[in-house]
Amino acid sequence: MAKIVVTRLEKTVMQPLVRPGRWYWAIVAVLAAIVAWAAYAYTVQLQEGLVVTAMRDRISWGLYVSTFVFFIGISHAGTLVSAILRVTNAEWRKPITRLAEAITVFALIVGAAMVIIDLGRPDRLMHIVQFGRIESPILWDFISISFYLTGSLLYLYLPLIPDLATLRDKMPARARFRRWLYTRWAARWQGLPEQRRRLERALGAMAILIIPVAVSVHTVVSWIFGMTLRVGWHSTILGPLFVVGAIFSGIATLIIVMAAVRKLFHLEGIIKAIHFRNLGLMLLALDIVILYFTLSEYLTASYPGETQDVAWLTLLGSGQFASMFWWMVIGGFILPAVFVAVTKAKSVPAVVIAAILVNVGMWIERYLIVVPTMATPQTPSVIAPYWPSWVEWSILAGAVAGFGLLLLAFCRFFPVISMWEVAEKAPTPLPEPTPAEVAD
Amino acid sequence: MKRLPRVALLVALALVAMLPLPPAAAEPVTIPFGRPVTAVVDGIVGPGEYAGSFTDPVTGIAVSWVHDDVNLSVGLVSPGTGWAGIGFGPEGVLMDGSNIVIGYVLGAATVISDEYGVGLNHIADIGLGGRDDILERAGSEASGRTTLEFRIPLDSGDAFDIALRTGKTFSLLLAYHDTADDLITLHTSASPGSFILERDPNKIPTRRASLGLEGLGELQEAANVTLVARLLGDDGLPLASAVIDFFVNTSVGGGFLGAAETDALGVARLNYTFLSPGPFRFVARFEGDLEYVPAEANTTLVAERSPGPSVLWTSDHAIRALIFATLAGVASVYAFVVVQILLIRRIGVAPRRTRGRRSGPKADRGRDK
Repeated sequence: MAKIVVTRLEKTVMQPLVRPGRWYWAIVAVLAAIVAWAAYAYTVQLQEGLVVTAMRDRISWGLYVSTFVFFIGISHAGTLVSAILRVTNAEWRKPITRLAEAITVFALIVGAAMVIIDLGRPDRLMHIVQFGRIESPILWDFISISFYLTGSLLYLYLPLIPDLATLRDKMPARARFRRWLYTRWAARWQGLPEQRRRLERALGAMAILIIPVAVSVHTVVSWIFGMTLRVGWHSTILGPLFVVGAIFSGIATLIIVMAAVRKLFHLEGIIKAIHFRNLGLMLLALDIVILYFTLSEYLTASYPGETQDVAWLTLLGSGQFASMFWWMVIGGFILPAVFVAVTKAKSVPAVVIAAILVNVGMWIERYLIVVPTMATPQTPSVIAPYWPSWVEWSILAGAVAGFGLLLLAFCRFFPVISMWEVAEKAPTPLPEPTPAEVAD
Repeated sequence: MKRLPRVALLVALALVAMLPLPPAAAEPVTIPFGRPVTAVVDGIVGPGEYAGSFTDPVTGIAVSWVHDDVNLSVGLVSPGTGWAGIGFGPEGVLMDGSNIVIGYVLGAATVISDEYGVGLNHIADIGLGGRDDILERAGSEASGRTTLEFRIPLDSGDAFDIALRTGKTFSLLLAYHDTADDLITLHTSASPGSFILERDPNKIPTRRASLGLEGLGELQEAANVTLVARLLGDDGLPLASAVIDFFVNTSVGGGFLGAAETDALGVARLNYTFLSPGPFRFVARFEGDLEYVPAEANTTLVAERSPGPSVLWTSDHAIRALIFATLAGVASVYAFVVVQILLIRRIGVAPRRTRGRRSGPKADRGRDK
């Protein structure tokens, strides 16, 4: 029987699949408990109707739609880091592409779930297909998200094939079910030149295609708002603002997930400070762009002094949404830029903290896009009140926890580092442990 | 420099702590029922004169009021010497459609006018073809404060006065000006709110009315349907001049469509336009009165899809071609990728040990040993 050779890289990357550790299970338990609580809240909503939320006739889009936009936004992590850097052949991307691609898929799943939750009557989901009209941005959104999810799954699967073959051959014997699964999914990969050629062709095609598909998705999401004749929404900058904001929060999420995975699975030797630095600098660049877009949006709205625009801006700047607005500008945009710029992105904690602030700020930004516009009266009337109910907050917590849980489940079944791509970068073989060491 | 991550963490935590808290929900204030009415309209609000009072925290206007199921008596004390006003309107509305009573004291003269909210303006009822329905009015000015007192009917019958009913929520608007003794200068401060008229605690309705609801008209998207509610008393006779509220059920609860009064036959009608195809559940509600308890009826109407083609299908074929070409292009690249995966699988050799044997985790068991 031929000896199975496991490289040090493979051993390190396969460790979470074999023995993820106590912390892993502790985090899974906490996240599962939050998801269970959210599931309970959702059953309450199913039973009682959307009346258990704070949404009413005036504000019919609230926390759920804000969170949907947020998650669709962070799904752009995979597009930028993986596709764009793959197309430009940036070598440093290799250890982090898998995580970026996984974030894309799971963020899309959670984002789409938020829309179904917002429907109130999930049994009416198929009405979009039955009664949907091609003029409606809602239908455009349905089509573009479906295409993006399909493409993202393919794009996640393709570079997994060689690693699945590695797992098929090198996973410990006791992991019978998973070995069987890897055998089925590895597409009989043996690393033959023709197989590699086919894989490269498929990856090349997907890397190019997924970029416009991703851009179209968030543009179409922005059109749901932008095509409506409402103050704060009917703006040409909304599409670019959504796309840039999406990539911005996508990178921030990737940084946070990278830091968590690195710490949890002891991957410091593979996910290095350089990765945080490069992504941190990208974050800084996009931060400046989003500040510019935000300034442009609000200045354009305020300068002509239209009554409704002024009412909407007053709500944001000094009205009931002022604390959130200024938190977003200072805490979500300015301070992260300061942290990254002052440290020149060389400090991993500073970059991670900046990324956390960016994501909180970007979630608030999504909330401020949705709610204040709906609160601003279109006819002479009072400002509609809205503060999410416990059901909505619970489901938001469940969405975030569910996203984390999906990522952790992925880490248990698949390598979070693209082993074959990283190995290609460092062809010199490392000292090789025995299979028994891997099992340990 | 090395301290920065720690500083950043502290700043981040401070920022998280600064995240906004939920705003306190504004509860409607109650106008108490009181009979006999002790309020005297003389321009002075005395202690115990009104059954209810509160001071608005935004404007600082002190409001005293009481109703006796027929009339509403109000005393306003504003923190300025200019005009002061109060508006009673439909729930959720700022000024439009509100009954506004506004006035000022200039020397010995007191002006108090019955006005109607039109958009964000107010116009005297008389100017709109209505009546001034203020029954009594008086005012005074002292120590930099203006006092206005007036009495109005709860339901004057004027088209430019909203009928105030007990147990129902209405919007409230308070405003004043520091110095301007007129009815046109923009307010110094204004504050919206809401109120409920307390029911007469001695009158408990016991009779049961029956309410029916049906839809008449074309049941089709974009078509009009007339919702017809018929209200009958427990003696089978129609109940006239009762207000019926109409709602349509939405996924966030009943959406208020409007209200209509029953005629001599006990029938109230409201027109509705179907905005989309599908089932619509309508609800008609009678809030009850001094004799009858509330009653409710509902009906579900299914609107058919309008037969006309959608806008895009009738527009330029090039647009359709472009959309479907784009989607087909994306789908064909996906198909290409799937073909590549199938080819990768075809090129590879199936693991020998699985050939000819059943697959599944159990089939691998022997190989691992």
